[in-house]
Amino acid sequence: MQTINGKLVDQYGAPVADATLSIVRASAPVPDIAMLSDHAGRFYLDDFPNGSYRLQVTVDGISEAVDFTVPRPTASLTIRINR
Amino acid sequence: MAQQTTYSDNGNGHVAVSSGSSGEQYDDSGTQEFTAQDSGSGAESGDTDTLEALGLEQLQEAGGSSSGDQSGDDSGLEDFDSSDGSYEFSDTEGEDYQEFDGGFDEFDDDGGDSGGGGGEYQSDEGRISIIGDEQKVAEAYIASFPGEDVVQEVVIGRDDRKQVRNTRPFPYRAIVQLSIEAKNGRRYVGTGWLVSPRTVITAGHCVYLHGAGGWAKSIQVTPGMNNTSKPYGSARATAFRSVRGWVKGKSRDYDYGAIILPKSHPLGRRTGTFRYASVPDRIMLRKYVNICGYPGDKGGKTQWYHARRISRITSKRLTYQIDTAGGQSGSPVFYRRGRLRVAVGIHTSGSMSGNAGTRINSSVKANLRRWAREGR
Repeated sequence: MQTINGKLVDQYGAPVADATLSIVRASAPVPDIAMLSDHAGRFYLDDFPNGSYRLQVTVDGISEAVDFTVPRPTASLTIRINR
Repeated sequence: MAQQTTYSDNGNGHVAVSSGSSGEQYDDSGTQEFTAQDSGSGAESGDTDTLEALGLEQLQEAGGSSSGDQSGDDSGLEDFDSSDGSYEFSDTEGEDYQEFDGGFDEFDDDGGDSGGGGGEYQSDEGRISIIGDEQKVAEAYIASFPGEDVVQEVVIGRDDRKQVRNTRPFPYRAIVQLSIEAKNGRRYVGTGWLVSPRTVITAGHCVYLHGAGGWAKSIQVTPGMNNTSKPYGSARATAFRSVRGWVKGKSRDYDYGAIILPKSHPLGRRTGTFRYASVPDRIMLRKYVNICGYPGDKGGKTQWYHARRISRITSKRLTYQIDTAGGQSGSPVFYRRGRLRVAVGIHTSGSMSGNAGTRINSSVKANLRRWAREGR
């Protein structure tokens, strides 16, 4: 079980705010709540069981998915999305 | 953390607790019914399987001509009539929300570094990527958890969810989008459903967020949200309810709660309301059930539904192969009974073994009824 500190940035490294982040695939049960990134592009995945996940990122009409695993060595997840 | 008010204590996880933010105090411990009189009456009328599953209702209501009338066969139950936007609540003491044709089961619901240098993981699409050492992280994970390297699906197989293009007909207008602001400022999207003019039922983790400061700071409730359209307005709520099993115990078995809207915003009077019922296993397993809510992978502002049979039941949980995604927490798990919509569960989580929700058993039902009365 691990809480992940996430950050969403664009292709220039600038934070992406107000993106909707949603788990669409999971190898372990997780709450089906969606997160919104804040002004610094930060988001949080609270108490995720060890496992593999797919995170869908939706912002400004773009919707892309990325796979990741838990546990993570630094409890962090930085995602870059090209806008 | 907001003050918590305990309603009553019968020693199990269903003891109701409040955010205390409404400033209201309650002392109705004598009326709590943790053991329901499961003696439902009335014959089931017609085919109770959902039409939403087949898309027929959407076709029928595409023109927005549905009256939303729920006043058909009510079998002597309390009447939540949304036919004309009005609301009736026949508060007969001892009357029960039980649905179906008798013979209800009794439920036992008591008590209840893989360091390394740089690199970048690219998804197939190439437009999104994880910055860092994702490939080595993944290799380390597979080494630690052999056989679990395949990402299992919350959207199971093909994504069969259908968008509700017109959210004005019932029951879609009684399903609400939740824009949640946690105590620590984090923001989330969830779903809820109206059971009385000012009471929205949802997942416990939408009102009490263990990893984000506890009780939510506020929740914006928008019935029938459809992108930028808010056909029934919106209300900001700060009064929340859940149960000890979730707030103190963090147990998935007790993951349910409620939002009490301000007295100035009885949104359910215009939208109509869901019924809810504690339904025996054998009947539950016969049903197609719907889940309808606001999935984040679709942006979190449009309503989507899907329906399939329930695949596994315990006294406290329902598991199903219905496609969902983050943002649908709190959605009603419901079936169609004539013009009525009867909720039997509250969607909470997704996983490889099937998506799942809190079952409305007799204890859950008692709390829903309590909260519904608060929001009359």
